[in-house]
Amino acid sequence: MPKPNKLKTAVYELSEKGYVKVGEETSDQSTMGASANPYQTDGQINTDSAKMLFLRGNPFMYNSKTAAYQITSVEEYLIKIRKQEMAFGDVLRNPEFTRRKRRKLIKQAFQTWDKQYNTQKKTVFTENEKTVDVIGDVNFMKISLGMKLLIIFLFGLMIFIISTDSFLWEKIAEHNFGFRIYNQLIGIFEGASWLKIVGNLTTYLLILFIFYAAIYTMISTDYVKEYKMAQNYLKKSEKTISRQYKKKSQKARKYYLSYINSKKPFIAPLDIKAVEEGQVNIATFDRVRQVTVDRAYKLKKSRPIYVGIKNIFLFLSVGGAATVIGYALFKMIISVF
Amino acid sequence: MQFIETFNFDIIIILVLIASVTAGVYYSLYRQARKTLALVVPFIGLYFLYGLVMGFIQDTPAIYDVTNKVFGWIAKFLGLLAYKNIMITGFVGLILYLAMAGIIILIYGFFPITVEKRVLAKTKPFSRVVAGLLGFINGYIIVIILMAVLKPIATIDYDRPLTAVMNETSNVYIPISKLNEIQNANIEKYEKYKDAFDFLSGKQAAAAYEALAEISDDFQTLNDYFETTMYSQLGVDSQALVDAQLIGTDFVSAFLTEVDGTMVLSDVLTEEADNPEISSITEKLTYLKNNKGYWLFLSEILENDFDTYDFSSISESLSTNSEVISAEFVGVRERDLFLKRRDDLANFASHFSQFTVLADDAAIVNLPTYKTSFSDLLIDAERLNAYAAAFLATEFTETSPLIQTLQSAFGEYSRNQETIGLMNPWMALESRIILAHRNAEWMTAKTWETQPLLKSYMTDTLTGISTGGFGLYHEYFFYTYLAGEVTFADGFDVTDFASVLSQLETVVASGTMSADAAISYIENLFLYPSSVINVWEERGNLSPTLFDDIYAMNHAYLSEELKTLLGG
Repeated sequence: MPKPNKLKTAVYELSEKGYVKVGEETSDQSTMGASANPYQTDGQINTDSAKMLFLRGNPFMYNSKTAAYQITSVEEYLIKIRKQEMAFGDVLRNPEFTRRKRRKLIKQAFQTWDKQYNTQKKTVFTENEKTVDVIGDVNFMKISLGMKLLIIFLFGLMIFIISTDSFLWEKIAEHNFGFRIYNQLIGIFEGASWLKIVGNLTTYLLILFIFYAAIYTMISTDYVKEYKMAQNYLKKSEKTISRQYKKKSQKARKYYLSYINSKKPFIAPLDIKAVEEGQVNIATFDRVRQVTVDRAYKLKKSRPIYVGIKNIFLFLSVGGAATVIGYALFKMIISVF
Repeated sequence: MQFIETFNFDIIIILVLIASVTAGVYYSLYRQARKTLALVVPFIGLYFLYGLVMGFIQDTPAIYDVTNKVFGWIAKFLGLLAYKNIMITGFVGLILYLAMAGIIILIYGFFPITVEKRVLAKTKPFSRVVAGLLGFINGYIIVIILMAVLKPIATIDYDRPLTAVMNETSNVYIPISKLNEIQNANIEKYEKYKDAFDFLSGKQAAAAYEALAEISDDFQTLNDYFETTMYSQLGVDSQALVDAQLIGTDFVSAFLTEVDGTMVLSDVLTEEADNPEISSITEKLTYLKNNKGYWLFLSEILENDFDTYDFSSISESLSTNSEVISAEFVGVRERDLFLKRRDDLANFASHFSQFTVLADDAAIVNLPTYKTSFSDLLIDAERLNAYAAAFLATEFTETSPLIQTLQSAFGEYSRNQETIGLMNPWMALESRIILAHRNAEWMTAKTWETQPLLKSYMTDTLTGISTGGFGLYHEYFFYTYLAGEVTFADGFDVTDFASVLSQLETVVASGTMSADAAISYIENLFLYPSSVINVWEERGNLSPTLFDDIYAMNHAYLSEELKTLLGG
């Protein structure tokens, strides 16, 4: 059992600028833990069990914006020492532990957190790679440019055919050949009023199809765009998260180890801000991945409906246009003989 | 079924608006705002910049000459030379618009939302509602653009409720909407009203009656020509063919007789293929062939000379024998023209008694006196107001589409009576009614002068008859800009014409119109069948020596072509 020392202890208070030294007090090391920390040296915790569970977590995964409990320093987190649990700060300042022991415990704590963090990171990143493989080709809902041009062309053609009073027909009818065609068309429409109805309905259907195609393309394009954005984000985030973690972890570790090595009697608790997650973090990363998967799932699930409606539109509008054009041509050819 | 039997642009409007609102709701505020800004803000930019840019182009000869040449070629290639000015202005506007839209999208790109926010954030209902409203604005603009783009190939009924709303909300901030109004909606309405007023004034019926009288005279003249000149030019075989069918000196009947299903004139034309006079022979015989139906009517159905019948008797006879007569026409155009003339006469005849009562003029005894009385009525504001009220109060025995059009025209007249009263009464009533709808824009602010797109359209339409708007806008231009010092009651002589030219010089000097456009405009005044000059001539308001006096005049705006026309 080491000989208890008389220790000078600095008193820090949390201010807007972080921890600020407000004074010093000399005390017997054996009583310090109980008076300065909410945690007792025997590992008994005065807070509720949920918070305790929270403090068993990883300070490097703490997020002040989303965390259930507000933490001020990394020293509040609990670490395991054999079968006991102690606040990291208590371990640092526990006079019952030798300096060597404390160094060993600090190293162990950081190793555990490292391991925890890397495992979590690896799980999420691996999930993401799986997601990319599973989602596969994102261009599965495309209406080809040729198809779009065909619809627009048919729309123009149908409007032109049914609008026999238009400026263009007027110009066409100025010439003999055009006039004959024009007159025949008028005759065909007069003889078969259902043809005009089919023509009108087809025109409305075609414009509906144009907008359906536009919305269909919009959803598909939007999904592809967001998917690619998310992938880029995830790729970039992966690097940022690893780099930031490494930097913070090394800094914190160095901070506490240098204290142990330096024989300094006191050290300010390391502000949680120095170790907490940045804006880009594993949780966000995972959420982005999850949303991407959800969207892909929804889109793939509703694909048969989208494609089905598209095919119905295609069948009806092209069928209607073919009926009007085909019937008109047939009648015109018949009239020649 | 009526609903789907005719093309209804309202349905297109509804579909476009639904699609735009849906897209807005889907996109949510941030992204929809970019689309709306990119679509709307360039119009505001155009409002301020368009005139400046067009002014710069017109004042820079190097640019103006190149654009003029390039668009001259394109317009010629497309057969749209009459629309050259509007093509240039439209192209410049489109480039400006696209450039401004591009800049807005670029600036908007400087304020991106983070990926996390875009992917993770749930869109709030408020954002979707506002985006839906913005989508509605986009839809409105898309409809306006569609209306303008589809107009050449589509029949758009501007009286349909939603289409009418779109037209009513046209404004100078969206120049294409205003262009759509003055180029399409106004012109369609003008043609509809003109047709209805030509019916009401007896012009149509008189024209149909006069056309038949002219054809009757033509047949007489041709018969004389065949007897005295053409018969002797024919070969022996042809003469034999004619002789076989000739009764007395009725050459027309002989040529039109069918032998074994072929008209004699067709066999004659085949026989005379090598005749040196073939072009003249073909011309005369083709006229006979094309008007065979009229010959049947004039020679067999009417028992006496055409001149002995009044228009109502002719109308009755035409209607009774319509099928037999129309079956005689070989060409579709000629048959259609015959049917139109029949309808013009029949429509007027069926309403003549009611129209006579409405006109309330004891001098009316027949069609010519009715015509004169009605044209006097149009320049007498007091009588016209009373007539409009009486017309609207009348219950017509037959409510044809023409009567419905007249009811809507007189309804509009009554609503804008005061404004119309301030306009020159010599302007056609249909023009006055249409212009009164936006009186301030035409008479006070003269919006078209300051809006490049409208100015280009007006230049094209005042200098080219084929654009379709000359009828309405040449009158507007004439009575608003040029005829200020002319007193029409005393007739129109060379002094009045000189005053018109002097006013035109002022207009050109102010930059409202170019000198070239002024020359074309004056030319068109004499070429266009329903121009103010031709209408006065028809009314007997022109000085008998006017054309000779103008021919003798020397003025920069009187082209050689016009001189040739007047001299001829």
